[in-house]
Amino acid sequence: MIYKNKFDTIPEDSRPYNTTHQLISLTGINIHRKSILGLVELTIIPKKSNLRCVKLNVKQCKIYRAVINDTFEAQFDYYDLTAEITPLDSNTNGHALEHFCADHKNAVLEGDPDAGGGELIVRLPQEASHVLVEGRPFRLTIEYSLEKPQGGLHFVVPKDPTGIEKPHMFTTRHENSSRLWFPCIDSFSEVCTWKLEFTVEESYTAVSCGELLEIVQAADGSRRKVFHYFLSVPTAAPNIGLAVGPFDIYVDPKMHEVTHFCLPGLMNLLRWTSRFLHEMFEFYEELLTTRFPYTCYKTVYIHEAYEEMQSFASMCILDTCLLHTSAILDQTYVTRRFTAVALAEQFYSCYISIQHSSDSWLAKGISNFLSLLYIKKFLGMNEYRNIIFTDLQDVLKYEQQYGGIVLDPCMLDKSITFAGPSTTESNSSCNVRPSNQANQVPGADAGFYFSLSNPHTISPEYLKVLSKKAHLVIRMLEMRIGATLFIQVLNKQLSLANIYIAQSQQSGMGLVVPQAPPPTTQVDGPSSNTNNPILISTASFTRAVFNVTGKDMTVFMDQWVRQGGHVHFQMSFIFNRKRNTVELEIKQENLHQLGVRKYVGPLTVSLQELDGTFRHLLQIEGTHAKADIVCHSKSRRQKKKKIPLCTGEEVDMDLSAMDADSPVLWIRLDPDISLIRQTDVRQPDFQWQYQLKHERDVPAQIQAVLALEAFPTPQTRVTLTEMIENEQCFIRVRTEACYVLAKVANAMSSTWTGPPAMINIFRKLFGSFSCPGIIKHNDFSNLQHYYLQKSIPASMASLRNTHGICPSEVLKFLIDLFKYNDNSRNQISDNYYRATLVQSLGNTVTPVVSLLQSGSDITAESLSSDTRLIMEEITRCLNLEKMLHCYKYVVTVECLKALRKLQKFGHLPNNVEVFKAYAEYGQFHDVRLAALEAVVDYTRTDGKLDDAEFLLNIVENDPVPTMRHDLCRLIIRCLTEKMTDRRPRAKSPLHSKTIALRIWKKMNYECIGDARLRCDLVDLYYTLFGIRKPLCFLDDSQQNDEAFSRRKSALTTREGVEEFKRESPTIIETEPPKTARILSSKRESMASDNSGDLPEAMDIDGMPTSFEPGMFKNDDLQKPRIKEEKGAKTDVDNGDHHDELVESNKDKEVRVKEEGEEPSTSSHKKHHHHHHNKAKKKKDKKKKHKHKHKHKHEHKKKTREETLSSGSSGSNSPVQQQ
Amino acid sequence: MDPPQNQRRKLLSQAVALMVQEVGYESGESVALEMLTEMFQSILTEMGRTTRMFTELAGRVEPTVGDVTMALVDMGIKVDPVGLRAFSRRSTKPVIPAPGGLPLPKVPSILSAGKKRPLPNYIPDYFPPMPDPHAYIRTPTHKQPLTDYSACREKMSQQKRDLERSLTKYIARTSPCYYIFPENQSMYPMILPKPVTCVDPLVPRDQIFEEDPTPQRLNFVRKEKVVENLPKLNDDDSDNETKEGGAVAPPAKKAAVSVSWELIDNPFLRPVKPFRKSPGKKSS
Repeated sequence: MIYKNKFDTIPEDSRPYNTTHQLISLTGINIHRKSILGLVELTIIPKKSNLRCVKLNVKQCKIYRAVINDTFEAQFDYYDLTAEITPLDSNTNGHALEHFCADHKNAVLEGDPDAGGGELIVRLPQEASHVLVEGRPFRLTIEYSLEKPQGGLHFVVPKDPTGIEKPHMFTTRHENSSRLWFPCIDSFSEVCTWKLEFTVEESYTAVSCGELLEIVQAADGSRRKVFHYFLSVPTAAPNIGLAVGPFDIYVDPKMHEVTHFCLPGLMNLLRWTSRFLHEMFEFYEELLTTRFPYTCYKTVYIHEAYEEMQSFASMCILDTCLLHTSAILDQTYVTRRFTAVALAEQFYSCYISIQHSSDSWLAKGISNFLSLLYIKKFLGMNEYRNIIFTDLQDVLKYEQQYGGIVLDPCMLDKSITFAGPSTTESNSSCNVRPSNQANQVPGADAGFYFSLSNPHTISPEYLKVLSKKAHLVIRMLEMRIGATLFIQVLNKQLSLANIYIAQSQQSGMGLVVPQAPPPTTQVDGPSSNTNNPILISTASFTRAVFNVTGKDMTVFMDQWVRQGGHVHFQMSFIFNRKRNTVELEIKQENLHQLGVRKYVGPLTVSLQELDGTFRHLLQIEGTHAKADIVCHSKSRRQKKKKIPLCTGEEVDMDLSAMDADSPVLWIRLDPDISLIRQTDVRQPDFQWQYQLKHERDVPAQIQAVLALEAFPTPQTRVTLTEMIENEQCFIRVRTEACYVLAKVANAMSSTWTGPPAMINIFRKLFGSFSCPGIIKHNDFSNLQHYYLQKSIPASMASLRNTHGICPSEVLKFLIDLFKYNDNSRNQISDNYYRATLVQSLGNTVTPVVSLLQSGSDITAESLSSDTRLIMEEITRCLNLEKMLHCYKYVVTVECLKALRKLQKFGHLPNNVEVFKAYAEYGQFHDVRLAALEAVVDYTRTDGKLDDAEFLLNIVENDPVPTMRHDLCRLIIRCLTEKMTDRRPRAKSPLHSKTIALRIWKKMNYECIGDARLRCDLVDLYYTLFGIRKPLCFLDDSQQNDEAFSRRKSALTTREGVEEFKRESPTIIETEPPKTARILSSKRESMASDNSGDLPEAMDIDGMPTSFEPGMFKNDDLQKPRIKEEKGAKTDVDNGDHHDELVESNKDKEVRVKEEGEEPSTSSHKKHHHHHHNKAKKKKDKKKKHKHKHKHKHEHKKKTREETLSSGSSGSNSPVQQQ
Repeated sequence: MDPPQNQRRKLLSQAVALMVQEVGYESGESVALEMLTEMFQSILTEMGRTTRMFTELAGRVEPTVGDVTMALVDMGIKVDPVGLRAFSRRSTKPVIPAPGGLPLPKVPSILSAGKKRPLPNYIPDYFPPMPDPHAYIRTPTHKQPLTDYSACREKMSQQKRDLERSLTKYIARTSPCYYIFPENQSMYPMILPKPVTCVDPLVPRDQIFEEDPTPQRLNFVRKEKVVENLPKLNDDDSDNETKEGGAVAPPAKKAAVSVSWELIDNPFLRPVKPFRKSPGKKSS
C-alpha cells in the first residue's frame, strides 16, 4: 500500500461487528400528527467472540424495547450528548464560543460511529450468549416511535382548508443523519442490504430506496397499503430516504425504470422538467462505460425541501421549486445543474460510498465533476469554463474570509490526537511553512471556530464551498493524469464495485437471514473495510489512481487535499528590448493572509505574441520567482499579418495601441486553472484590451473585463462597447462588460461625451425599427439578446453623473422600458426581465441629499418627482402581482428590495411593518427571504430589540427548517458585508445580551434534531460576538476595557480574525524602513482619540492599505491594485479614512506593547482569542509587532516596482501613490 | 311663450302701431294696441287659412293672387286693387327693421362630430346652420386606425396601464392594504399579501402560454399492431382512441394499424395486492 492512514486500523477497533442487512418497518406513519411508529431489525455479525454490547445511532426517537432474535430482551442505555453541549456552570467564560466549540466536538464525536460512538448502547444479555458467536449473524430488533421530529423527517401539514396543498412528509438529511428517524449505524462506511416496509393511508404513495417489490393491503383490514422495498446493493444508512405523500406518478416515457413523483397540480411542469433525463442517463453511462448501478430511479418533488436536492440510493428528493415550464428560461440552468448532480451522486456517494466523513470531498468532488462534464457537453465549453471560474472565485473568497478549506481533515485530526503539530509540519510538502500552517496546527479547528472533525460541527457554508473546491481539485487531478485515464480510474472503481456486489449477491446473502458469512468479512479477513471497493477514501483513491496510471499522486493529495488554502501569485513583467525577452517576476507575498499558502512547483505562463501563443512552464521555487522568457517574435510595426491565436485561428488586429518595441500582446498565468489560485497579473491597459478582444478563453476574458475597470479611458470604453456588441462573444463576458462599462463611465463622468453609456447599444439592438426610443415586442428566442436585454438596463441603473446621482435620462429610459414592455407575442415569460427592471429602478436610487430629512419627517408631499415615478411603478408591479403573479414571484422579490432601498436612502419613511407581513409563514420562500433581508437590514441600522427578536423567533420556531437555515445565513451575510453607506452605526440590537442568551440557549440545548441549524447558529454567534465571551455579558466598566482590547472581535469578528492572521508571525526579516517608523510614531500621539467610534474604523478597514484580506471581501475581483488605484483616484474620502485606519492600527500596536508589560488578564485576550496555542502567546506578540512594519515595507517596494514596470512598457496607466 | 312667438308678436304689434300712427294717432293705450294686434293676427290667420283652402281646392300647392283675392272676398273684405297698389307705394311708408335673429346656442367643439353641411340655397341665411351630420345622417362608429407606429405603441401601453391601474385600484379598495403615508391613503396603497399554496408560485398567472398540445395518456405506451382488416371488434375502444390520440390514429374501418394504449409496466402503477398471510412477512 502506498499510503497508510488511520483508517486502515480504526474501524475494526471501534466496531467489532458488521451489519449485513437491515429491515425498517414503519407501521404507523401519521402525517397529520407528525409521528411515526415502527421497528428496525439489524442483522449483525460479531467479529469477536464475546461481544458485550452494540452501539447504535439514534436521536430524538423513543425506544420501547430491544430484542435479540425475537426472544431475548436486551437492556439498553440511551443518551444523547448533543442535547446539552456545554453545561452552564459559573465559569466566567460561560458563554464563550471557544468553549462551546470544544464541547460541541466532543459531544458529536460521542455519537460518531466512526469514532466508536453511539447514542444507543444495547447490552447483549448473558442468556443469549450462545447465539452471539463470532461470524454467526443474529438479529437485533428495536421498536421505536418518533413524534414531531426537529429534523431527519419533515412533515408538511398545510393549514389551509382549501385542499390544494396536500400533506406529505420526506426525509431531510444533513450529511449522515439517518439516526434522526431510525436506529442504525449512521456511518457511510457501514453498508448492508435493506428491506423497507412502509404502511401508509390509501391515497398516499411511499417512495423509498431500492426496488418496489409490491404494494399489499394492510393486514389489519383497514384500507391502508404497505409498500415493500428491497435494496440489494449494499448501502450505508445515511443514503436511505423516504417520501410519503399523495403524489402524482409519472413514469418516464423514454425509460420505464425511471419514475417521477410530484404533488398534485404540477404534472405539466414535471413532464417538461424531466424530459431530458434520459439523455443524462445516456451521457453518464457512456462516459463511465458503466450501467446505472440501480435497477430503478425515482425523483420526488416535494414542498418545503431541506435542500434543493438530496440524493439517496436510487432516489432523489428535490424541491418543487426546481420545476418549471417551457416558458421559463433562467430556472432551466439551475434545475439542469441540480438534476445533473443528483444523477451523478447516484454513482458517486450513493453507490460508491465513502470510508469516513473526512473522505466526503471525494464523493462530492467526483459527482460535481461528472455533472460539470455533462454541463460541458450540453451547455457548452464556455458555460463550463465560466462555472469553473466562478466556483474558483467563490472558493478564494471564502478562504480569504475564513481560512483555508481542508478537503480531507483526517491528517489534521491525527496530528492533534496522536502526534501533535510536528507531524503535520514534516508531512507537508513545502519546506518553508508560512504562517497559515501555524494557523492550521493549533487545534482541530485549523484556524476555524468550529471543529472539522465531524460534519455535524462544520459550518454549512464551509461544506458548500468545500464541495466547490472538491470538484476543482478533482478537475486538477484529471488534468494531471489525463482525462481518459481519469475516467478509467472511475470506471475501474465502478466495475470493481459491480463485481463485488455481484459476488456478494451470488454468495447467497439472503433477504432476512444470510446463510453464508457476510461478504464484508468474506473478502479478505478483518481488514475488509479498507479494501471494500464500494467505499472510497483519499488513500484508496490515490492507490486506485496509481494502479491505473502508474502515477503517484500522494504529493498532490498532500498539497491540495490534506492541506487547506490556495495560492496567490502576483505577476509583473518588464520587456527587455535589447535581449528581446520578457522578464517575469512572480511573487507570493500574501502568505500571511488568511487562506493563502505557499506554492512550489510548476506553473504555466501563456504568452501571446505577434507570432502566436507560446506556453512556458516555469518552476516556482520560492516566494520570489524570476524568469526571463525569450520572445519568439520580433516586434513589427509595418508588416500587416494575421496573428495566430491559441485556438489556431488567425485574426487581424489593430496593433496601433501596443508598444512599438514589444511583441507581447498579453500574458496569462496558469491559463487552464490547474491550481486553486488567485492571479494578479500586472499589465498595461492595452494588453488587457487585447486580451479581452482576442483571447478565446472565457475566464481570461472575464478577468480582462474586470481588470479594465481600473483604466477609465476612452480606449477602454471603445473596447468594452465592442465586446458588448460582439455577437461572437460569450454572453457572460458581454454582460460582465456591461457592468464594468457602467463603472468606467462613472469614473469618467466628468469627461464623458454623448448619451449615457450603452443606451445606444440598447436602442440599436432592441429599439423598434421606426422609433428606436420604443422597445420592440419582447422576443426571447435569441438567448444572447435575452441576457443582454436584462443586463444592459441593470448596469445602466448604476450610472452616476458628476454629482453622484443617476442621470435623469437613465430613469426616463427605465420608465419607458416599463411602459412599452409588451410580452404578448413572446413564447417565453418575461418575469425575470421585469424583475430586473424593478431591480434597476431600485439601483438608480442614491442617498437623499437634503440634510433636514432624517427619515421621520418624510411626508407624501415632500417626495421628489423621481421618487414618485419609481414608487408609482413599484406599487403597480407589486399590487399586480397579487392578482396576476409571475413565476416564483420574482417581481415581488425585487419590489421589496427596491422598497427597502428607497427607505434606506431616506426617500420613504423607514418602516418594516410591510416587510414583516411578507415574511410570515405561508408566503413563498423567496419572497419571505427578500422581506427578511429588508428586516435584517433595518435591524442592523435602526432596529430595536423587538426587531431582533422578531428575526430570532423565525430562526428558532419557523415551521420550515430551510427558512431557519436561510435566515441565519442571511443575517450572517448582512452583518459581514461591508456597509455601503458610511453612516455612523450604533451597536445593533442584535449584539445585545438578550439575543446572545437566546442564541446560546437554542444552539446549546435545542438543536438536537437539526445539526445544520446548530452550526448556522454557531456561525451567527461567532459573527455577532466573536469566539470569546460576548462583550454584552460584561458590565459597563469591563465593557470599556474589553472594547479596547478586542476592537474588532466583538462586533465584526471576521475582521478580527483576519487582523490576527495577518499579523501572526513567522516571517522575521529586516527592520522596518525609516518612513514607516516615523509614520507610526506620529500616529502614536494621535492614538487616543479614535477609540470611541470603532465601527467607523472598521468599515473602512482594509480599503487603502495594500494586500489586506478585507479588500477582497465584497468584490468578486481580485486585483488589489485596481482597488487601490481606484480608491485613490475616484474616492476622495479614502484619504481620510486611510488615516483613520492607520491610526486604529497604530492604536492597537501601542496597546500590544502596553499589554506585553502589564500582566492584566483581561486585556490579553484580544489578540489571542483565535490562538489555540497558548504557549506561543508571548512570542507572537513581539513578532506581530515587527511584522507590521515588514508589511508596510513590502508595500512600499511594490509600489516602486509597479512604477518601473509600467514605465518600461510605455503605458500611461495611473500609478498609485500612497 | 317661447321666443320665436314672442318675436312674431312683437313684429305684429310694431306693424299695428305704425299703421295707427300713420292714420294719425299719437299715442295709444297698450290694452287697445294689444286688442288691435290680436285682431290683426286673427285676420291674417284666417286669411292665410282660407287662401290655402282655396289653393288646395284648386289642386295646387302654391297660392296665387286669385286665391288671396277669393279669400278676402270670402271674408267679406272689399278688394280695391288700385287703392291697394297705391297704398303699398305710398311715399311715407314706414319701415320695420328686419328682426334680429337670436344668438345661436354655441355647440361645444368636443360634441361636434363630422363636418357641418352648408345651408341649401332655398333656405335663407338667417336660418340656423345645419346640425352635425351625426345628428341626422349617421354616427360613425369607428375611427380610421392609427398608422403611426409610435403612437400605436403609446396607445397600447396606455390602455394596458390604465387597465392595470384600475384593476389594482379596485382590489386595493377592497382588501387590506399597507399605506406608506397613513394620512394620505390614496398614495401608493400596497395590497398586503395573502398566504400562497405550494402550487401558486410555480403556476404563473401573468400570462397564459400555449402548452405543448399533446394531452397524451400519461404512463401509457402506445402500441401499434398491424391488423388484417378487422371488421369492428370494439367500438368503444376505437372511439376513445380518436379522442385521445387526436388526428394521429384514423379510426377508419379499413385501417391496417390498430392502436392500443398499454399501461407501462412499473411497480408503482401496479394494482394493490390483497393481503395474504405469508410466512415470510413480518407484521408488527
